[in-house]
Amino acid sequence: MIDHFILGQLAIGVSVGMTYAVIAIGLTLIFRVLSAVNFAHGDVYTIGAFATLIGATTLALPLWAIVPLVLAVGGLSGWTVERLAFRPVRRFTDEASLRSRAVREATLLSSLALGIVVREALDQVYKGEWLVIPASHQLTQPVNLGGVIVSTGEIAIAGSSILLLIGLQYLLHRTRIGIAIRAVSSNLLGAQFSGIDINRVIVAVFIVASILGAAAGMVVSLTYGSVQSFMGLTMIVKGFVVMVVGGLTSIPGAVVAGLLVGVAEAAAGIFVPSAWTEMVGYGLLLMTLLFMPRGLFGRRQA
Amino acid sequence: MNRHLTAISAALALGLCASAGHAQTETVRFACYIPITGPLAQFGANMQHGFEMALEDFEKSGKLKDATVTIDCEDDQNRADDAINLARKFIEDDSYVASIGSWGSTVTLAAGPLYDKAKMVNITPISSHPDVTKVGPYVFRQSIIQSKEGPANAEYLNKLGVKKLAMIGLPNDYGKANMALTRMAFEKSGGEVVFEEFIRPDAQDFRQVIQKAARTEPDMIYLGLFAPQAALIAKQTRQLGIEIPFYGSAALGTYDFPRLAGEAANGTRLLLVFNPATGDEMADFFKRYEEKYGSKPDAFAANSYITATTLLDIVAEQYPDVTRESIREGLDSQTTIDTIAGPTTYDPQTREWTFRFRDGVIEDGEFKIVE
Repeated sequence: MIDHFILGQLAIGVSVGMTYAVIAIGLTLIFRVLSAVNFAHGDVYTIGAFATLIGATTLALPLWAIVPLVLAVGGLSGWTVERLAFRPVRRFTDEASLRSRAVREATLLSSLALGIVVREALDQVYKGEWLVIPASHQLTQPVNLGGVIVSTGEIAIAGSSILLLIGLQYLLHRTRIGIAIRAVSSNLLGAQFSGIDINRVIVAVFIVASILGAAAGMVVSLTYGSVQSFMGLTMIVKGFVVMVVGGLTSIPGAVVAGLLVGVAEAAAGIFVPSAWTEMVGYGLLLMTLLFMPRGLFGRRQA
Repeated sequence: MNRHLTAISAALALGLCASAGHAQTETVRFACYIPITGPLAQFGANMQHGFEMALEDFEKSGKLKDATVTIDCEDDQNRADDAINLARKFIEDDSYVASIGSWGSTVTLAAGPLYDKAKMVNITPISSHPDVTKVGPYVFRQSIIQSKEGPANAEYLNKLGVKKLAMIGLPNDYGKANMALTRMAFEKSGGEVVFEEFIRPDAQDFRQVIQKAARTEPDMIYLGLFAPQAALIAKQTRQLGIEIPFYGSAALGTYDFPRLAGEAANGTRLLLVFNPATGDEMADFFKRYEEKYGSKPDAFAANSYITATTLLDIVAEQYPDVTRESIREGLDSQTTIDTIAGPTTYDPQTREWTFRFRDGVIEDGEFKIVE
């Protein structure tokens, strides 16, 4: 009984941590290229959840058809975020101005602002209501894994996160655009000299990151069965914490840190009231900043 | 110089006109502060609908022929600082005879003292924290209150034969008071609370709390929550294969709970007040509301309708001598009135209203009265 209880708690931690990781990877990808944090990312997650809802209700699509819809909407929102919040402040594509402090601060605010606009617009349209994903689409059936009860959604979260990670690795290592992304993030000047179109790479990064964010929004909304315009707010904060703990630029770091934060929160919940578990993530953030400022897998920066 | 004088006299003339107009008021104005944007916008919108319907019904009734009444709502986003700023603005504006608001107890408790100091009535149709009416003689409330709901919950739990209760609540003024007063009454009547925890309202995953609660093997799980969180908890409990029945706070007596929780809401016991199952008048209000706004009202809409109607009846009785002070006197001299929620009684000692509680249950997504 007690073992199952603890295992159950940890299973929850893993599935929550996976979601954190997917969100954090989206932030990390963008940070690697621009050294900037996309604070509209949480709202891309929300948009993914709303696209799922609209697909399931207004368009009455089956589950398999919702997946490409959400991914497409995610990609489109990534492109839009780049166009509206990042491109206008990026006048030059040389390294000094791309990663300059002024640009970083400007995009921090412009992405934050865009996120607020999206959130409040959704809030106005849907009157801040909690909306329900139709029961036929919800991934809420219990599954018994050797005494530990998880839901189909949990398995979907774990499965899709792994798929997304594999897909991302394939994209980054085996495709032209992926190699370009890696080239730009490791040596911008060199990449430019080899004739890589920086703007194109940046757009690609935003699209990929936002597809990940929207996919997370889709799976989470199907798992919990409800959608609300403010749901991205907690996610972006957690994603940011995980990104920092993971080392800002490392994808494996984001995965490990995501799982670490998720499991640590769940484990803490066994001993303290769950309202206190929020502290765990921030505690890890604080400890990282104090003792390991480069994060778990951070690379040395010149 | 000349131009200067003209300006001054023009301003003076305008001022005179304004005050002359004010003396023979043809509009009685109520101020109102509620959440209109932000995560709680839905509740504010429902409150506004309640006010609108009350104003319409009042106009139709012909109780007041020589004047019109308005309720001007502004947005406090359920934030204490915004509510305080609005309070200053409303108090300054002499055309307002009283202020209605807010939704959250925390907000009302923050703005209430300002109104009380300015001797302007502040009445909330929602905030249920015990301290609200203790702010001062100008702060009123007309809603179900925790100190009445707690003992009523305990009584119903006893009727259901519940001995061990697990409690999950919201960590705000509402949830804390609701949990504490229900717990106190339940323990006093011989029950045992085997688990109590407060959740993070912004979380989506409550399975940890649920598993911890289930481990204590309670007869029922008490939900001192609002519909969104309660629905998530209900769904996730059943998802975990846990079949312990739920007992909900009276705040769950709205259609949002069964709408959001689906089948998981069935079997939930709770006290019903603002629910069409409680009587024909309430059922009629629900019907008219749904026709007008295209969605079902919640307890906040119904309660706002009742409070607005109470104020409007006071205005009709006092007109044309409606002042800030007269509204206070009017409210303080109330006794038992008929509302859409049945007979409702004012106690001048505690300055609280007593609503009629009915034992209820959710079956097939519908609320039913248990005899």
